[in-house]
Amino acid sequence: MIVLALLLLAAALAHVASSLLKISSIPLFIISGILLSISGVIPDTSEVQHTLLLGLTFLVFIAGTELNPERTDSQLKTSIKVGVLQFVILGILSFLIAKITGVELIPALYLGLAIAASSTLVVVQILQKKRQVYEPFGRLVLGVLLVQDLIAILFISLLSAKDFTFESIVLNGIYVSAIAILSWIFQKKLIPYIFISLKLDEETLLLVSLAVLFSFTFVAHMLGLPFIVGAFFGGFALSPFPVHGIVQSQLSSLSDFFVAIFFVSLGTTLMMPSDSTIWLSIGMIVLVILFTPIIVLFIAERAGLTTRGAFEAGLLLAQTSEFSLVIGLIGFESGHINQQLLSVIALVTVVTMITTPFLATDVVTWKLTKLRPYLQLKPAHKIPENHILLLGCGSSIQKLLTLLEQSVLNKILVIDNDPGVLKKLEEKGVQVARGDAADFRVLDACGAKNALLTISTISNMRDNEHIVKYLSNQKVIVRVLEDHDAATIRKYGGIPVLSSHLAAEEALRWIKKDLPEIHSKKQNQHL
Amino acid sequence: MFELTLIQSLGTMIVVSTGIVLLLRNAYIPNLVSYIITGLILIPLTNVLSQFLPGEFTGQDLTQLEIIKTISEIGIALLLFLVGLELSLEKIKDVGKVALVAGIGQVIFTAAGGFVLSYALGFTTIESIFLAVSLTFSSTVVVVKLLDQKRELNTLYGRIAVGIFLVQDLVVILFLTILTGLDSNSSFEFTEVFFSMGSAFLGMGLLLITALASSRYLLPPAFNWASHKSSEMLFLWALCWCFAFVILAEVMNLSLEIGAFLAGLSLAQLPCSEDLHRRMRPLVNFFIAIFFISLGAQMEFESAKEHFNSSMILSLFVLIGNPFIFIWIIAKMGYGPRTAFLTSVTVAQISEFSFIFAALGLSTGLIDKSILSVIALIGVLTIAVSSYMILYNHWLYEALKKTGIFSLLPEPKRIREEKEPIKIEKHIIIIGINSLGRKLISNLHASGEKVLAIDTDQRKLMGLPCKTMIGNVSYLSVLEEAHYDSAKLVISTLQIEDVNLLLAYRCGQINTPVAIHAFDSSVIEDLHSLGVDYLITTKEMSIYSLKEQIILAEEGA
Repeated sequence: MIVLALLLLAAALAHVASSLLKISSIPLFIISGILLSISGVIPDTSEVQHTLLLGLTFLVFIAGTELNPERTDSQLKTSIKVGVLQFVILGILSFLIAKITGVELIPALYLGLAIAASSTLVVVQILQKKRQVYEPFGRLVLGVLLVQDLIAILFISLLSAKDFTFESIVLNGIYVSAIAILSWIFQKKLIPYIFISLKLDEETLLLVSLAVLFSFTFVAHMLGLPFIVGAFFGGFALSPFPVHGIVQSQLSSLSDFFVAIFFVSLGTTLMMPSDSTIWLSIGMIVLVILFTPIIVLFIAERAGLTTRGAFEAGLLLAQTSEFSLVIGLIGFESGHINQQLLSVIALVTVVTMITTPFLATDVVTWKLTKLRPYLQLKPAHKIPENHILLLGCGSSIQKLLTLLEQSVLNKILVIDNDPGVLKKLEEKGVQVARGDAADFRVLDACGAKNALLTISTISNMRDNEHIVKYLSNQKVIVRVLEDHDAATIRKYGGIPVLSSHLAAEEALRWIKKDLPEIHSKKQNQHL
Repeated sequence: MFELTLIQSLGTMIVVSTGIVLLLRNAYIPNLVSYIITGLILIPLTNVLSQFLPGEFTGQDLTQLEIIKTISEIGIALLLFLVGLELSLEKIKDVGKVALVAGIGQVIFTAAGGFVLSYALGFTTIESIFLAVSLTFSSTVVVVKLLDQKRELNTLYGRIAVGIFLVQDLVVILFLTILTGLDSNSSFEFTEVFFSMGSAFLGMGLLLITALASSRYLLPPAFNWASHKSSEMLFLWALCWCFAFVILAEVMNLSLEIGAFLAGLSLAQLPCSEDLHRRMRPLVNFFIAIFFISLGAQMEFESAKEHFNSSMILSLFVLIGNPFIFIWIIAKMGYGPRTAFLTSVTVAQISEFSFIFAALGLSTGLIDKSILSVIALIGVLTIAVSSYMILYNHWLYEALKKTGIFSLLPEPKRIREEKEPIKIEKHIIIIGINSLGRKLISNLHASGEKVLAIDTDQRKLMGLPCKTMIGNVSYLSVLEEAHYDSAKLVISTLQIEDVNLLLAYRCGQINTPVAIHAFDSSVIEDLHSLGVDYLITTKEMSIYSLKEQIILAEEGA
């Protein structure tokens, strides 16, 4: 109990530090664990081992419950492409570095695998904070992370093959496919019945979720696979909507608890890397931070993202994952890698997780975007004048264009970065330019300073602020959702259109007019 | 490789108990009874199964593991922490007198009655003493778990019951101090026992003062800060606070229950306490399930055969005699028959402490194994039956009322009885307080609608004209507390896809009209397929205003 209390205390303090320093809590959990073991207050290690084990199981289980391809919306194919390529290229590079510095074959494989994956926990937190989950590049990044989690689990299964003979690796491949198929059958048939049709109370729902988790770990164990492979596919069985939503609130307390003490107890078991491995660690850190954005940039740009979106995605993915630690632990526990290499993996993970929030910022993204040769805008023959400039053309603006007469449409120039949308608009005779509307070079090329009116429907408020300031003598309308954003736009001389108020008025009309009838109809159904 | 015994034992416990819960749920068997049944069959079952499973693993391992014991203890601590969170000091003070009188009165009467009865059934004096003490204490864990499940901790009878258990807990501590005094050295010294009793009371006082002082000065700023930062931080802080008190209590020779309860109590008056309570509950449910299962696995009835009839009689004494003593004391103190009945039903079982106590007796050689088995049998029977009695207590009350039995109770001058809670209905629930939410709230409130605003951040709720509630609507319990089933409309202005979809699904299940913020075109399709009644399409609503601006600019040119 005292050990647990100490682990929790360390986690709670790490959380305070994470909030003050504005970095992810995971590296700080690990650091607080290291400090705890240096201070020597942790009395006995068997309890730490137990929390480590339970934490590991829950961490992987929860990752499995998130594995729902529907979350990536239309970005699934791109996600797979980017995810697999980034994983493979980084994996090979780090494997080669490890081999060059004299690491044996199997440990180098583990290292390559550990360095290749990016962290779901860190990235999702940043995306949520910046409200970018639902932007195309946000969905892409989410998809990439899901793909990489899956790849990591597959490799863990293969690496656990006995003696690394060809037959045993193939056999493990068959077993892991079997467990994946079993999970998929569960997900389609049994799970919806138990979780939805039986109408269980919250306590029983939690119990059943845990039973699914443990049953799958048993199956994995029986097939000779690592138990966490079972935990992952147990989670996958619970991933589809609405089952995932129903159990998520029940599981989130458990995962908050176990995951926090997992990272702290992991920290307590680590040791400092020796001189020889410190250079290996530094090499890996440089590889992850410098090469990930470049690799992702090339793949994502070709897959149709803007330069800026591709850079943003690349910077966000430039860290190693909590799964890297899982891979390290599994390797260590099965005797494939030594304590030193586990420490290398932990060190790389801690450092890159700390650097991510400082690198994945608008400022860095812009600086990088400017370094990139200017490719995307079609060169205009003549800079237009007295036109109406639309920045961003989502589905609502496409609908707006259908409401306008042709004479007005002729005066409009749309800047957007979705080639599909632009093609449709061109067919209707609307002038278009492909590029990032928040880029001043693009704005200049589109004659923004000579426009009659500029309307921005970009959702990033920082961009809108810059645009309004840049076009300070022009008439600029910005669509905003929040009152305080409207105030900011007004302050810099723009005209805000507050969509939340317009929508609220419409909703209030509906409540007055149509709701009473719907309500009484539904009440009758209920009875 | 990892020491996988823990995963195996936990897994076996969870999987088997899930099977039993699902199997027995049509018989309306409370989950905790299913857990105990799981415990009873677990060891024989795993011994059979282990022949087919890989690894050397027998049923005996399940309960022998030190970590399983720790998990059970954590479960008890968290459960009592949960109880503390639900009740504030004010609410406890209110029932202090009745709890003290009824608690002590019941201990005396039951112990005396139990002793006489056991002696009459032919047990020796020492055996009768052990049986009487074991029958006296009721199980805090069982009752509190059920009351929390029924969401009735905060009713008048729930508060009295909790008060009584605290009093009993203190008496238990006294007993244990005396017993360890008896156990440690043969020469029984009164001064030593007196000293340790004194230190227990001193420790209790110290803990109480710490809890009170921190709840006043330290906790409000600290936890309010944490609750703005992240709900995860708040959660971890609360857990830390709980375990700090548990350890403090252990240092002072108090029970971990008391430590955890006081830790919860000191957080109860904070605005975030309800939210914490909800987040804590799944954790408690997990740990406490392990506690009940391992409790069941420790039971052994082999040697109870010879005393089977006596066991039945003693069980009946606990199931009927105990409540009877209680109902009389509580009614005498001025509570109405309803409250008196509901409270007294909660004491109709014996406690897990009874086993510990009997096991201590066995180890000192004062009693033999058959008495331990008798107590185990009484324990399983009374816990199972009283769980039913507590779960269906309102129904039981109405049934007994018709017989006119309650007119026999003493009638004091002033009767305290709780009113039935009033159900809110035809209100509009607004989830997520942003510009859209605020605009809707102010207009709806002004037009005379009953509005309830829910957000996870208490700062966003400040200054709103309507009723407010802190909570995360991913938890079904939040929606239930908001009475979403009787609402006229549920509106979500949130920009979180997962939460909105789940909300739409849940409202669809119970036919409550629902309006959801469709903040992006990519979410519209899914919301439509869930049958949302109205989509608040903020982006689309802006295009008419933008169209006007464009035409205006064009005409101006």
